[in-house]
Amino acid sequence: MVKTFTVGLIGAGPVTQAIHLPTLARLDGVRVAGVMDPDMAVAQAVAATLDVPAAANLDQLLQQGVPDIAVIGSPNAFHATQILTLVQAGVRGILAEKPLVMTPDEAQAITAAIEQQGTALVVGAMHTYDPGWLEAQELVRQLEGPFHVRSTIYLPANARFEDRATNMVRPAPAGPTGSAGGPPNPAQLVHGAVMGLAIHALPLIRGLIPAWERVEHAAALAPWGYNMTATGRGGTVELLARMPGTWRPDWQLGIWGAGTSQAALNFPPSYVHNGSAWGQVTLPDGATKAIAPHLTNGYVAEWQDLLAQLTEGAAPRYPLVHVIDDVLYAIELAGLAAAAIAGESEVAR
Amino acid sequence: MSPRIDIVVSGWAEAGRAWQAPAVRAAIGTLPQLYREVAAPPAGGGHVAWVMAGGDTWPDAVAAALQAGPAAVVVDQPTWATPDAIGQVERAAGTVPVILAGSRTHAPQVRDLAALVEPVKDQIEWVDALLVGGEASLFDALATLQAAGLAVVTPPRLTASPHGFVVEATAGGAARAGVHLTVLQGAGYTPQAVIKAFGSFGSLAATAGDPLVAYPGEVIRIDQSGYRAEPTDYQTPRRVALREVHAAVAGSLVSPHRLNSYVPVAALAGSAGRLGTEPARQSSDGRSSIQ
Repeated sequence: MVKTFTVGLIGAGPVTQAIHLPTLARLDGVRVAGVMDPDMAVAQAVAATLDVPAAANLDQLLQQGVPDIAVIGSPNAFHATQILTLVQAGVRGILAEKPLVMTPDEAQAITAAIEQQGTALVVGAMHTYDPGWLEAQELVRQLEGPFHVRSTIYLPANARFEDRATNMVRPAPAGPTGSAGGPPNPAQLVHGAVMGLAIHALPLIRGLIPAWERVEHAAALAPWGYNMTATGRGGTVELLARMPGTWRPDWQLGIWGAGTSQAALNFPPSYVHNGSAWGQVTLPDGATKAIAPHLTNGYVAEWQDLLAQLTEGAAPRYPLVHVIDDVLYAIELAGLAAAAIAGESEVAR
Repeated sequence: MSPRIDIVVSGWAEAGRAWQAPAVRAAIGTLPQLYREVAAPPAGGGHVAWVMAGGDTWPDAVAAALQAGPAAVVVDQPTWATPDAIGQVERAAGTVPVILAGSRTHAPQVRDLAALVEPVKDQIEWVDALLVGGEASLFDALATLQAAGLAVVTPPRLTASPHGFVVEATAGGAARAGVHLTVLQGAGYTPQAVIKAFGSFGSLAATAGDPLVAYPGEVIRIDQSGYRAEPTDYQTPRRVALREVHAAVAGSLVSPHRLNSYVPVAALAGSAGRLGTEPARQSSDGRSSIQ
């Protein structure tokens, strides 16, 4: 008999609703068993569509029954503690949305816990599982450095894509707050933006620029985004992002190396399930290989990797040490960027 | 009917640009009713002197071309310029128009982008420009932005890269748009220009391919009313420049690309020190060492 794994959803926001629920719906061998969100109205609304119980916190969800698999789609600051709680509770597998953790100490703590329990772990860094990227990666590995890498992300508001991926349940609008708040702290904004958005591209870039040396320029962009240029072992990296706004979804990774080595890759926006990355890679011998979009995306591949670990005992595509190194690479860049702009009084244009 | 004008192309060897001869001659050849290419200036002058301007000595080459009494001089793709050099050339030219033909200053995509920029120039908040191919010249890159209506007005801050450089600056306009410009040079790279402008109105974007090829590219505006693409124009920048110069000589146009209009750009490029006034060169460790 095929084992059906129960899945507990930690956080019922857009990532859970628009990404994981549609993905789970197409997979065999998985069944959502509970939905948790501190906004109980949202948790109940999402749970009701699945005929499962809702919970207001992680302890409550675990009391309802420890799932085989937990999906962490909560705010970044909670990921590490939730991973530790889930590992201790005995879940067999965790799909944790990026960023895996926020500090090196958290990385160390979850590493120890996961290694001790043998919990299967997949990080929801969908580009690392994207079949188009994986095809391109085999070619990119043949490129010759040093490299200039350019990641650009210009997107309309996420809601535009969330609403096309699912029937979203959103929290009730918040009432007026007493405090007007001040302008965003640009260092904090950039730090958060690196850990929340640039982190999609960083695992891909780490294969070309394996270590950072310095951030040459960093600035926060209004309304939300970043402009960074950093140098590292192997070359230079530009990271640009700005959203939301009225513009064409534009998510690109450009790579230029020695001679004819170059690559141009396009990624679909998050949330929508419209296939994989696409683009082209030109090799050192001048041959250009096209990467046509695949019908599946990284979201499906993440789950397939986790399920293969649990059903077949397969080795993970990305071992724990690899995903820890990925997140430490991002944490380091975020810290360098924040330090570079600390003291700026205005959000840059 | 506009008169057919003799045109003399010079400076190939000094500029190291002999390999571009077919492209230049092809552009002239697509305008047989406007130009006749001749090997030497006509006795009475009145021709167009097209000076290939790579290398250090282009002001002298322009001065030499002026000796033959041309009706106009075109400076083709100088990789550097300073206010003093431009001043030297303009003094020698007197009333003869001297026109800059940068690598993309006359690109139809840049021209069309400038037309879209004009009505929203005070609402543009962020400019992202990527220029790949050709010679990594800060002056040429900033001239391209000026031609697109996105001229920078602050001294550029440069970061060297193994294959070019990255620039941070600010554009004019009420919103004082941040400008992020990447210039990459490599003989093996696919030439491209991608210029994007964002603001409260929406966004604009222009893409262009190899300037030696009449690749149509794309110029778009996206706003609340939707997506609009400008009609495609299959012309190389040089062909557009040739038509503009002919109209200027015939008296029906004052060129917006007079070399002296690029003095501010030359000054800003020079403010980056010698860094940014010369093409990027590869150092022995593979990193760019812009001289």
